[in-house]
Amino acid sequence: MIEDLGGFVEDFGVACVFGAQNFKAIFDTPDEGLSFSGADAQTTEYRIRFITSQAVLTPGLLGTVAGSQYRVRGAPKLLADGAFSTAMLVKQ
Amino acid sequence: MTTLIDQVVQAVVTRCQTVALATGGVFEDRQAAFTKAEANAINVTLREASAQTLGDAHPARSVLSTVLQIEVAVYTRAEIDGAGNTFSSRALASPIWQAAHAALMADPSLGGLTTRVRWVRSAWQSQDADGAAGWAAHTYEVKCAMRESDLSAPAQS
Repeated sequence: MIEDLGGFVEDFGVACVFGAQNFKAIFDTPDEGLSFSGADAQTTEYRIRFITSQAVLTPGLLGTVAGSQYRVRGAPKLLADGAFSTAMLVKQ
Repeated sequence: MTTLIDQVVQAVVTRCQTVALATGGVFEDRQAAFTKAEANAINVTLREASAQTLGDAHPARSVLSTVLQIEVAVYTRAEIDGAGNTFSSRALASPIWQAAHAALMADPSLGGLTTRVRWVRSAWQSQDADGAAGWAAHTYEVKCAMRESDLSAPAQS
């Protein structure tokens, strides 16, 4: 049986466009602290969770999430059984 | 009235404030985390002070040879390019350090407060972030002389 994953991103997903790839993803933007030996830094962790089979995202790829421009920060990571992946982004 | 040590730290901050590349500002001993919008910034921190008594043992006449360790840390955020490569935090910070160093060395007496300012060591750190966060911490050894009985001014020869 092939599971229909579309329902997981249908209600709360936002439109993503990376090259010719159009897909929906769950978009999170938590702030996190970075500890250094001196003063610390703060970062906004722009992160999308998407259906793995719908997008191939490579580091440095430029695209839009909910209309704003981002660049892929590193190789996406598979979640659990690999049906979903997460990718970290850098806001442009 | 502040001690000579405080005046020296303030002098270092003032000179770093002339660095045009430090667009995010110059701070002293800042504890709050730096945001992406605050790059590039400089944080000046007095790390240590120690003294050795010279000459006459009488407090009114003896001189303290005082050594301060002052850290001038440069904070940067590096962008990622289309190939997925992140620009070097060290390379981003170096021109800012060079400018701060030049500002300090333009008058190593810091307006007559010190007898010597010398760079002694550096450390670089960076972490993955929304624009890789980098710190380049440069430690300066600052030597000054003050009377044991008066910490507010440099000892006059």
